[in-house]
Amino acid sequence: MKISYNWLQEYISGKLPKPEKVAEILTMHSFEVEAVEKVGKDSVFDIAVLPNRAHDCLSHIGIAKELTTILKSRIKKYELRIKEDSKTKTSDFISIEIRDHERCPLYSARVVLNVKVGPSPKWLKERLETLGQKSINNVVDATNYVMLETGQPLHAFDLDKIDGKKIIVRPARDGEKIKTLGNGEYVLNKKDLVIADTKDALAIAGVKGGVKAEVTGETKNIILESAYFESSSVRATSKRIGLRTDASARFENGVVPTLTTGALDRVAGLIAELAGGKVAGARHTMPHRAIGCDDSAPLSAFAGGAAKAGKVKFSPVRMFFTPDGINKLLGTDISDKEIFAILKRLGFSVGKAKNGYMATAPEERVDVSIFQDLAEEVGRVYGFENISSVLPESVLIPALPNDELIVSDKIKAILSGVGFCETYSRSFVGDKYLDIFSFNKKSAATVSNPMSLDHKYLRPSLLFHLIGNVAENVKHQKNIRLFEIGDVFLLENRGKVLERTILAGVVFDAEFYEMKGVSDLLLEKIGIDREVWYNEYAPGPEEEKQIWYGDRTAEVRVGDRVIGRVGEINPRVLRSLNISKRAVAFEFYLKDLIELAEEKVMYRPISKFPAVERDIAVFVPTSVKVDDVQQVIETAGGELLLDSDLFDIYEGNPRTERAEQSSYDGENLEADQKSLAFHLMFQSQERTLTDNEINGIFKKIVEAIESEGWEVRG
Amino acid sequence: MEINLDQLQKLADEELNGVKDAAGLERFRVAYLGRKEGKLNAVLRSLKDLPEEERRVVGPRANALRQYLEQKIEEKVRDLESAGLSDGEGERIDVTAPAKRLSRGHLHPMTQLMQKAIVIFSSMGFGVVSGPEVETEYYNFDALNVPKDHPARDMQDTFWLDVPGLLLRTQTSPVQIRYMEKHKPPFRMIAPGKVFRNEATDATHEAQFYQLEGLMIGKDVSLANLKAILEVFYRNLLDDQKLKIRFRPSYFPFVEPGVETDLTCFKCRGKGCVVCKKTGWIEVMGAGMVHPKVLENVGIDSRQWQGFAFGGGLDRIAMIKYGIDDIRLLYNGDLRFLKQF
Repeated sequence: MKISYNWLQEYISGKLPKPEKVAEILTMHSFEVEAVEKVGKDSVFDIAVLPNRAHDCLSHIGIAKELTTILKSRIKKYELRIKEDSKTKTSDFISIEIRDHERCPLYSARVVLNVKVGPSPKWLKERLETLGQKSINNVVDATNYVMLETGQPLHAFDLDKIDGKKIIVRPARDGEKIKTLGNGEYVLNKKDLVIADTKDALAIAGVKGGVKAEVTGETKNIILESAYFESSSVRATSKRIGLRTDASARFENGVVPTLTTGALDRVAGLIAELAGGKVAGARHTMPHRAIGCDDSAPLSAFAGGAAKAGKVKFSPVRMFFTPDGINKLLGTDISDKEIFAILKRLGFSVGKAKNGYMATAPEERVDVSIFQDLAEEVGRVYGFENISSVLPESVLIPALPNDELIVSDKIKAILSGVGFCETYSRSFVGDKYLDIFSFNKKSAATVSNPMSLDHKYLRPSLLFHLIGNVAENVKHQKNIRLFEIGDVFLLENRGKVLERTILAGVVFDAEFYEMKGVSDLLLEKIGIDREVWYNEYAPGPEEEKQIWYGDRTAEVRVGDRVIGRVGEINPRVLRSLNISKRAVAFEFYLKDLIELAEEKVMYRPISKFPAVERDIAVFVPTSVKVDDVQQVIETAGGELLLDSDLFDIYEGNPRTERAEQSSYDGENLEADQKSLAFHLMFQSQERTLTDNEINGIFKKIVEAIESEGWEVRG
Repeated sequence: MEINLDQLQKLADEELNGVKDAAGLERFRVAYLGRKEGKLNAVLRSLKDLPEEERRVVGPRANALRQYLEQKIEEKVRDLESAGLSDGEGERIDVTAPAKRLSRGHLHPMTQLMQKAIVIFSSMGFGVVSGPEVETEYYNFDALNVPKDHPARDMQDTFWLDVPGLLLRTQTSPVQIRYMEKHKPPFRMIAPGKVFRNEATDATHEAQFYQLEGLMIGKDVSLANLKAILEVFYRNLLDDQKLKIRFRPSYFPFVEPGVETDLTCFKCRGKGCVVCKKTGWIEVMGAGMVHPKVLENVGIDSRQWQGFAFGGGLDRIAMIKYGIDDIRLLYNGDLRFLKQF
């Protein structure tokens, strides 16, 4: 909100400090002043009034009161100059009917007759223009001026344009159209509230006036509106039709009902002063007994007090407090005397109560209701910056370890140790990626108000962005190894969103076995190595075209549980992202890794007896898995076979890097066979193995292999 | 025979000198120590034909020669193995030439910052808690005393999902609510994590960023305690024991009193610079004393317990700390960026 320095000064007895100082005072005790701008001879503050104080501080008087409280100065009483025509009453000219009391608990009106609409005087123009407002004419300017002064939105209608001489506050009809000031046109529905005459809508309640009863140069008689519209209704309408005005901004934060009548009197008096005219006697307020705004009540000071007389429905807020309680919350040692003094300056009245005190809030402070609110008031006036740091003295309760954090940190250390760079990517994806990865959009969680088309869905996989990152990085990098830990989202049946934390990584220009190595290393290092096995990935028909290259991908399993996948990326995906070499990735469910990770490591005594190594090469059909052959060897080898390690693989069809690197030249190998060579390590914990013993076991292994129908190479 | 042994040793030494590889060494071994044709074995075999007296003299000497040769062979094996190790001519290198590059990985700057933050809070007894990013309206707003149809909900522009009632959390406070529902006070916890705001993105704004929130509830935990805890945190996070914390009024529905937390600008140490817009202070956190309604919502008696909550973005701290001028770099996966950390 823009606030004028010179204008503020008018309400404050005593000279204000310099604008920069005022800005600092407000920032440290009330609201942040975001800018101070010199405009002519004035200075304008841009103040970020907080939502809980919008009802009393979106106004010059509200800010002036803040300043007088902090500066220990006083608000100047403001004289109302208004002459009422005692022979007439507002209700002679207009009647008011409220059809929705929920959304309009209070509507007050005044009539000013025989006004001369024309340009505003220089001082008024200046005031508005300094704050960036446009001067329109003396009547409209007066309503804006009083709103900026008091915070109460006001509106002027041309009385002679109102059909049926009746103001009706009613819900709009579905599809009802209204043309508003400033060339707007809106289609309303019954959730919107309008001010209407017997025929048409005259204004969107609390938001904007319409053209039908617009005050123009020809206008003679006017009716002034000062109402209390319920905040959420104004907010809903303003949001739905996309129209936010100075008035709606105030109503949606809630205005102070008891201030409505004072502002109305103030604007009527001002208009009579600026545009001539006669103010009809006695306001007209509906409902009659709503607030202290009895039509026959004498005029009251608008500033801070408003109409006190009458049957007030909105009773002042009272709250119990103790100075000790306030100090305990703030961690301060402010004296009782100072606390009482601060509350008094804020307009609270304090009385004794059992075991403490009772504070009564000034009527415009509808935001306070509990003792913590009072603590805030005391704290900020005293100065939060004056609170000194005190380390807590409570008992130390050890915090529980967070397994997720421990395992994630371990993973990050392991992967960065083997050359991976960690990325953080966006949780959103657009259609482009879902299409590239042939992801079924029905399974994607959708954002209903996305920022852009690239933010339409929540990412169902970390690999989309990781592979996208590869595509970007290949333009200037050769060694690309990336990983990320983050949440992914799937829309499940019955409208549930499944959120899972995933660890994923990708390496560019590498093949399956390299990533399997990373996977082995990772799982072993976090303490999952016992029962890990790799199973051929069998994608469902829908998954087939997605991320993975089905022939070169494995499911990683621990027992029956699938904990992730390791595999090459579908070449079709790579092509569509212009990635010209293979890429290989892994993906794990973090939850599984956390559950399976163990920190138990048991030392195995180092054998005092020598280990003996023998090699064996086996010809098997290409369809036979290395794992199957190894199983046969290890079973036959028994306890004394400490380890078997594949060191050479050769396939007739040299599709793998391994075949290219193999030392074996393929002699005697048939086209549908492959050659596997293993190092076998024999060792005992109890004795030195003799040649005879080892030959015996080796023979068993050869027999076991041959009984499978495979051939041991000589 | 004596001469024979001496000659044999001389011959063996000469021959061994000429051995260049393992195969040659094996031939040498067979030639001298071989069971059937070994020259020394021939000598040993011939011992039985010698008279007792001579046998006593020659026997031990032949055995000594065998031991000598075995040792020599062993030495030769080591020599051959370490043939690559030379200390001769032409060994001088240029130590200023670049090192052999080892494949190196990097942790994301946000990870590094968060790990440091966690260590600091852990040292003060704060546990680390996490929760889902897709939240319900209840946990993100209602339980936090942010009423429906209230402008306070507009303070955080929210991404809503197509599933009614679900949203992307705008703060990690839901984690605190979930934690308080399950635990009894007193407690201290922090909740770092990703949050989302539907705001236009530019060099300093992203639709997602990382927040660090914290909570401490006890019998007499105060705003003054909060100030001390935050001071310890920022001073250690940014390695500057002179940094100060300043509170000023603010409003968040879930705290009362509510404060905005300023930190001495750690770029200029409070002198005033572009980063702090010449004020010497940087706004780093929203904080305050947990609103009694929030405590009551999770079943904690607000007459017995009180405490503070705080929350602030980490991205901006990282940007200032590392001199990053565009927040989008944090989320683009560009290796030219990531490899610098």
